Amino acid sequence: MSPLEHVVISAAGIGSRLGLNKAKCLVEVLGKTLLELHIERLTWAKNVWLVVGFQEEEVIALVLSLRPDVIVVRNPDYARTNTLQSIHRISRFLPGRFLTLDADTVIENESFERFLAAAQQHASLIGVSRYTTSDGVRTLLDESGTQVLGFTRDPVPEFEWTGIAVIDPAMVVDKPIYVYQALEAYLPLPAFELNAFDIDTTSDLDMARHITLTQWGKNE
Amino acid sequence: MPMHTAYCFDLDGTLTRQELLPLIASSVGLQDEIEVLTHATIHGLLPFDKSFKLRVRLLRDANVEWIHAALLEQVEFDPHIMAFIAERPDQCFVVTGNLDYWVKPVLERLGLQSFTSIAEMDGDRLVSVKNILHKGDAVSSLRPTFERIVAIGEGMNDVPMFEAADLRIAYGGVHKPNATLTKLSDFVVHEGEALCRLLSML
Repeated sequence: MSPLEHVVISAAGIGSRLGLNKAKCLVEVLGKTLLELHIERLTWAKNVWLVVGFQEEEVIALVLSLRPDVIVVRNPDYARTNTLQSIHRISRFLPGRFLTLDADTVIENESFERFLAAAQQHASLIGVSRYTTSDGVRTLLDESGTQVLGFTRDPVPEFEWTGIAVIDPAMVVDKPIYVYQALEAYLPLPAFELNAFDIDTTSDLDMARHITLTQWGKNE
Repeated sequence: MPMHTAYCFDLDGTLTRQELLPLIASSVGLQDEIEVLTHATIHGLLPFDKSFKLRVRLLRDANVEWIHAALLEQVEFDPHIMAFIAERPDQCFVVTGNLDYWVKPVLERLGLQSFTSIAEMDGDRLVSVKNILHKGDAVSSLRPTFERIVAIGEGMNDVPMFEAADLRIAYGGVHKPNATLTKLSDFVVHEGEALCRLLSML
């Protein structure tokens, strides 16, 4: 398996449902911005690509202070495009598989490390989580829980799609659809559980602050 | 048969780690005067063409040997960018509004085909500017030879180059790139090494 050399962080969106008038990657959880937390857990990555749009000047200034060799990818159409199209702005140039994640995601680092280790055994890997949010997309897994068979808006399956995945550039298309919809053409894909969820609403943010304060339940 | 990609580099503050006009001005003791004009240009009070002609007028009697000596002594290049260029010199171009007569030794060190503003000479004496380079024209002139043109720059006078290019990189390796230019860019990078990693993948 080729080593994972590229990480694409999508940080272009407005985050309107959170209603903070702040790019979500600039939101702080326990004194650190989500962007800072991502940059800290990605020190191993040779190439970090950060897609920016909403409040790009602030986001660029922050990432420059955190890690100046990050390559900023601009999505000036951020208000009219989605995450898949943000990723496509750089994935079309990438030579091989890459890790994609949304900047508005909180992630437990230990499970993230296990996910990365598992990605050395699988060409593609889909991150799924037991932490579910109000309007998240859930994943249908096979009986062994190791393969994603489908994605659904139905809030019944136990595992949520995290937006964290190792995928091939060919899976990313420049179309106004969601990332999971682009992945559907390649199912089944290997699944791996990690502790993570994205922050879309104020209740998600409250959950993020509570969970990181209790170290994902360890200190409760 | 057109070659695949051309890389058009701005000179001052992109290929060089120093702005050249202040270096040229300080070599003849006119740094304050030139700085005022540079400020007025950056802040939109004076168009680049007029400002550049004024700067040339101020500096035209300066001893060109001093200018060349100062540039040779003080101008530094980013080693990563130099290595990138050395691997594909036929695809790399310098696109600078600076004057051919002044920056000649810098361009000779780079050894690349260049587009510059052109001095009007009376014998070996600088009189004024014969032609100020419009950077968009430089990019357009490469169109028949290349399928795709990548532009790398940092200043307001790189805007026409970005408008004419296929891919645009705002470079912040020397100082923060101009805000208008950044708004036209596809990528923003802050180190020469990162710039070359990006260029190698495009």
